[in-house]
Amino acid sequence: MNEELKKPELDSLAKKAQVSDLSFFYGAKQALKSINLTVYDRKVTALIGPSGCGKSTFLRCFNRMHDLYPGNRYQGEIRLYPDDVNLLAPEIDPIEVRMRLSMVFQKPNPFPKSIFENVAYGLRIRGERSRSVLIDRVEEALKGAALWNEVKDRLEDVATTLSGGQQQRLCIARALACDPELLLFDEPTSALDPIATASIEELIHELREKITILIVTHNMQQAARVSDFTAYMYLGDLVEFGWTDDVFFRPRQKQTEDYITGRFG
Amino acid sequence: MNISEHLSKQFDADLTGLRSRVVEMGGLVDEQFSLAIEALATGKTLVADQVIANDAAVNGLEVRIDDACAHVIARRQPAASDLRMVLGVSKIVSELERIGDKARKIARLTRKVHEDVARDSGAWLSDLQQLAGRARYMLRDALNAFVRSDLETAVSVLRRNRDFAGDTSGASKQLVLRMCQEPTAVPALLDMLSITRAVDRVADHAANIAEHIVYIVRGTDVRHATLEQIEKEALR
Amino acid sequence: MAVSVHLRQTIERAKRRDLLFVALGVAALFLAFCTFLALFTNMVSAGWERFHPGFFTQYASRRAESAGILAAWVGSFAVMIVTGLVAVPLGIASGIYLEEYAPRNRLTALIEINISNLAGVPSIVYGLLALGMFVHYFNLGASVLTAGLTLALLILPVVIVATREAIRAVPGAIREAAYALGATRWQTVKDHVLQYSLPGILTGVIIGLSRAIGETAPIVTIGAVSFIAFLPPAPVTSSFPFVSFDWLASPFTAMPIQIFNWTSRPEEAFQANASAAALVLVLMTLAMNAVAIWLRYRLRRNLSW
Repeated sequence: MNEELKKPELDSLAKKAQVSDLSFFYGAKQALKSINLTVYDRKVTALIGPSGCGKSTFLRCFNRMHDLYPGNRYQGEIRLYPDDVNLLAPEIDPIEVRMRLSMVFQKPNPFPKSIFENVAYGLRIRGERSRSVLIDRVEEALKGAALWNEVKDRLEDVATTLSGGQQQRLCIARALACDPELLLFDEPTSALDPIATASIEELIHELREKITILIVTHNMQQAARVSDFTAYMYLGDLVEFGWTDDVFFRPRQKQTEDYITGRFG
Repeated sequence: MNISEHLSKQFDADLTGLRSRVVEMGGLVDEQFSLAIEALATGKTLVADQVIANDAAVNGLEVRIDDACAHVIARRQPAASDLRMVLGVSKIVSELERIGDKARKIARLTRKVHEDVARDSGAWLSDLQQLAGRARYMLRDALNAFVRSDLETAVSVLRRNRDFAGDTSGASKQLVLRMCQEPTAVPALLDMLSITRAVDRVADHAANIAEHIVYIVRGTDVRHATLEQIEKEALR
Repeated sequence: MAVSVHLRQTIERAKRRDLLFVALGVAALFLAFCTFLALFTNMVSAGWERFHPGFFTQYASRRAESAGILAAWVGSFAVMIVTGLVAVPLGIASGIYLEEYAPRNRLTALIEINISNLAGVPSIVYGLLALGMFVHYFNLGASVLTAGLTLALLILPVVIVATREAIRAVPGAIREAAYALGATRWQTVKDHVLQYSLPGILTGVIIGLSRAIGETAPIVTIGAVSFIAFLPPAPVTSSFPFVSFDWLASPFTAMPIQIFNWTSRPEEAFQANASAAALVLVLMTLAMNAVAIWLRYRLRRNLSW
């Protein structure tokens, strides 16, 4: 019998976040149904599923983006470790949550300011005033996003003069500059060409050693390439969660199997 | 195996095509084996020649099916059960080709020893025919199990193979005894021993196919597991 | 594959219709342009004789040749300053509040509808409001301050609507990016939304001011007189505290009033004055628009998304 010698026991892995019984309502409509999921520390967890399954909705619960729009309601908990705080508690300020978690969006959305200002903005609103510290942190973030060499001579150029792939890496640098505890990617490469996509995937691979990543993607092969764990969602339910190897080779649920093999979109 | 349809009809067609080609090759190989044994029993060297010539067709099928597997992987990036099926097919086809080889080997040896076998008064030929019949059943059951993703049949093939090994080794021992008793007949007896071993190997290959079927359906590689472990895994 | 005859005919017909519309458009444009050109040349030709430096430095007088627009343009200028200082901050702040902060409920909807309606209220109504409230109730009299406040109220809806439209044009993606970094609502508005909507807001402000400078009815209603031989007191004084606000309380006159006054005189000669003054007013308005266009260009160059 083949023993899974290469994969450690789940219990031995450190947890970064625990989602318990998470439900979400857009007004009267329930978009997420009692989701339970563990996000493991310094691993990449991918969320896959057909359109409308709730994966982006789920992701946006983490950094309380739904609070920006009226009529939304959370139920359940998302506990962030190591300090075991419930991110969804009403007494927790969403601004605080967003200071701890960073998000990269589907369509690259750099601010129409200079490249430097884009990366520095997050630091400025955290109160950093010293120009030399900003310069260092910006450089570090741009290096972390594999963009430094391409832009180091034109930091004052407007960010919108960069190509799509570069803009997205700039958005990643902007997110990294804030030293987030959890990095949220919402379909980060669906607006990019294959080469830019590959460079972002390579970046995610490098980042995972230092930071926990949660990525939503509608491209199954990308989830297979990039993630350690995969969660398959359908119509607001979490259908299956497991090591990516298992989910893509030997899924437990027929629904997962059907989706992954293309037996339904 | 997942029998519902893919969104891509072409993908469905590709996989169905693979399966039917495996069945085709299985049928061809089964016939080769049966003809080889018939040639041995009847002494018709023409039939033996036919088997030897047809082996080229068997090899050609193996190459084409493997090629088709590679194309499906390249074009479709199959996952989960589809991936296991394509990998399993590649392995099964390899076993079938070896069965074809055994049939050709038996046919070649038949050309050499068919006169000695005809003059032989022992029970060897009838025993061998019986053994070959059982081996053919095992092969056919394995192919059916593949088509229907039937794990029970696959496990029964594996069980029968365990008994089979004992029986062929009994027949081999008898031949060795006779070699001590009839030294002049040793060359012919050696060929007959080879033929016996070949039949044993055919059953082994059928059992291997059964193991690959467990891999396809369950995703577990049972090639080096004991029968008890396999039964537990397959029949849960 | 050849294009069928029927298809070719259909294409030809469509192209002819296209051409027809272009012709109509050009004709309409031509008509509008010619009208403007006619008015302009008429103004210029009628008023050219008065167009000398003295025109700008003389007060109104009973003799047409020496009547100037000094009091008028200084008055207009002073009133515009008050209007601008009141309408712009109020309008922009209201626009920001309504667009970014106000909850989407019935009260907000009611306010929005009323603001749009206010933009269409005849200006004389504002004049009457000002007469009752500013002139009499608050006892501000027929002063520069009253006129400035009145016109500010007049153009407030324009500024508010322009601000809201400009803010709405900022892509939600930029906002989400700012929020996701942990910015508060005010930080997002201040650092991102306002910067990008500034061109649009400025356009609205200039449009409003252009309208205000030409409004006659409200300032007539509050009692601006047409024959003034003095200027409002200067805002800077030679003694402490060096700044004076007396000019706000001063009586005044404005360009539209002066123009109206001159056109209603029976003497033929004053028509020339009226034309010259009208020309000056048009040029002032064009100058403000030019400033707006230049500012928008400068701001837009740095922001593109």
